[in-house]
Parts: sequence; C-alpha cells; structure tokens
Amino acid sequence: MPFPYIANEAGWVTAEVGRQPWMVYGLIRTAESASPNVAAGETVFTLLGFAGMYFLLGVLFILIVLREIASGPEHEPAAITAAAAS
Amino acid sequence: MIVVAFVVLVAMLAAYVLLDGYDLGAGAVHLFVARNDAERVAVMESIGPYWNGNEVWLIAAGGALFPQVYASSFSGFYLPFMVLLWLLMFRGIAFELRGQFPSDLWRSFFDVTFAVASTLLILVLGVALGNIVRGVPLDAGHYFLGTFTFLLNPYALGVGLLAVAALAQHGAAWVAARVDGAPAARARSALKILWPAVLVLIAIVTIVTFAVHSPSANLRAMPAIALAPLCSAAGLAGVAVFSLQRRPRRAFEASTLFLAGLLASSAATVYPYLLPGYPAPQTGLSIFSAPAPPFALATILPVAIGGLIFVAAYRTFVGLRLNAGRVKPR
Repeated sequence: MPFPYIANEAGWVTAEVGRQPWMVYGLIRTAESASPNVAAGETVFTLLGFAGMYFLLGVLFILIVLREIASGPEHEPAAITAAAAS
Repeated sequence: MIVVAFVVLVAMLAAYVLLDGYDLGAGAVHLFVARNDAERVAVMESIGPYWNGNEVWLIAAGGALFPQVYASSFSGFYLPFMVLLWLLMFRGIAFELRGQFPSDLWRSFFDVTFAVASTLLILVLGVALGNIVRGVPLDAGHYFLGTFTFLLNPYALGVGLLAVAALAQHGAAWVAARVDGAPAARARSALKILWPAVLVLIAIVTIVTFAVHSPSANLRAMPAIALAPLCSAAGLAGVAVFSLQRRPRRAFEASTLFLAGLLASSAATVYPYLLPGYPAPQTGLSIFSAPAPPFALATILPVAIGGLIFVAAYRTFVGLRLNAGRVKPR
C-alpha cells in the first residue's frame, strides 16, 4: 500500500530539489524571491505550525485507513447486487 | 478596462462573502442552534454540498487580484494569511473527520473546532476588510511597514465584530430556512438577538467610516453608488420583517441583499484604491498605479468574465435543483 505514496513524494522532491537554485527555472533564483519584509522567525513559526498540523493529519490518516482496512469491504456486495439489478 | 477588472474582483469577493458567508455563519451559530448529535449532523448536512465550492470563490478572487497588490499583501500580511489558511484547514478537517469515529468526545471536539474556526475566520476576514478601508502604511516600494499589532486597531476590530454579527445572522437565517425542527426554532430566536446587534454595529461603523476613509468624494463624483447602502438598509429591514412573518427563505434572501449592499458600499468607499496607504491614501496601491500589463489584462478579462458567468449560472442551477427541501434531524 505505501508504494504509490513513496513514488509520488519522491517525484515531487526530485522536481523541487532538482530545480534549485532556481525558483522559476532561468528566471528568478530562490534567494532573490524571498520577501525582504517577512522575518525569519515568522517563517520558522509557520514551518513548525505546518509540520505539526501535517504530522497530526498524517497520524489521523493512517489511523482511519487502517481502521477501514480492518473493517473490510462490507458495503461492496450490496453495491454489486444493486448494480447488477439495475 | 481597469475599472472592469476592479468590478470583476469585487464581484468575486462579494460572491465569496455571500456564499461562504452562510456556511461560516452556520458554523458560528452551530453550537447554539444544534444541541444533540442528530441536530448537529443536520446543520452540517445542510451546508455539506456547498461549503467547499463556496470557498473556491476566495481563491478565485485571490487569483484576480492585481499583481502588485498580491505581492504587497501576501508578504506584508504573511502571518495573518497563514493563520487564515490554518483556520480554513481546521474547518475542513472538522467536516471530514467528525463522522469517522462514533465517539462523543471525538465528535464534540470537532463540533467545537468547526464553530471556533468558523467564527475566527469571519473575525479575521472582517478585520482585513476594516484595514483595507482604513489603509495600511506602505513605503515607496509598496512594502508593508506596519506590524501585526497595527492591524488590530479599533476600527478594524469594529468591522471584524460587525462581520461576525452580520454573518452569524446570515448563517442563522440559513439554518432557519434550510433545517427543520429544533435548530430552526433556535435559529429564529438567535436572529432576535443578532439583528439588533447588527443594527447597532452597522450604525457605529458607518459613522466612524466617514471619519476614517470618507466616501463623500466618491459619492459626489458618482451619486449612483448611494444605491448600495440603500439596498443594504432595505435588506436589513427585510431580515426583520420576513423573520417576524415566519418566511425564512425570504429572510435569508434579504440577508443576502444586505451583505451585497454592504460590500458594494465598501468597494465604492475604497475605489479607486485596492490597498490605500495610511495615513494618506495616496501612498497606497490604486487600480491605476498597480495594473497588470495591458496584454495580460486583455487576455484574462474575457476569460475571467466568461468563467464567472458560467460558474454563476451553474451554481444557480445546482442551487435551484438542491433547493427543494429542508434537512430533518434524524
């Protein structure tokens, strides 16, 4: 189950890291595109906030998916019968 | 053409406030109008098919912003915008995760998250609107010079409170019209408190606005804009009249008219500025000082207007198709 996720994320990381040091390839560098009036502390704050939020969401996602898998495809037979009947 | 672009931007923002306004407002009154699980599910189901689409209007309006305003505001208001984004995320999570576990603690946690995030979102958006009308300090390069605390000035906070009251009224009118049983009855009694609150706040904010950013020059140049506050007043009166007559659909429509008039009035006050300077509006960004390149504008405007008409027509069609009934608490 985790392989599609790993492939997806790895592709994304390749695109983002491979483009460095450009923000838009050949047009603007990452260092040039930072806002001069946004303080480093503010970005640390939001980075930590996003990290915390996505960690929480990731844990909830795994919990809910595992729970769905454990409970099994209980609705599937009914859906198939309904489709066959129509 | 620049003026047309301004009108398109205002129309998109207005669509956002009118549409997302009722689901944010329903969130703000959620804990009060719905007391048990069945009622809370009913309130959430009444906005379930709409809220996500309604929110997209905010993104569309962001995309329709003039490039320099986009740059100035997104770096100048970095923290408030991030807080806004987190609140939007928490609200969306509450919708999606609430029903996942049959636990009272889990559900009431997300009920509170939904209500608190909705209310704070309205407050933040209202404070933002207040600051746009009042103006923000920008330097010659259009960088925002103020601080987070500058944005929390009494006028902007007053507009924020008005926004909370007005959208809570909008949300209560929605619940009264679209949910059956006890939540509708409680929404009607909420309206009896919210309506006078809106009336008092709108009176204060209107008077103070003339001192903060007087619309009188625009009024003299184009007297027709006086129609906007008149529509607004008619809408607010309509909310009271139709609520007393027990015609909740009409009351909701009147609340929509009230908000539309209010937003048109704000736009007419701010015009031609998008982000007025403070203390002198001239130091800010106006639609003439911050236009997109003419070619970009000529390309994007027909597409944007066509898209706007298409989406509005589709939204009306879906709205009418789904408009048939009221959600019953089960």
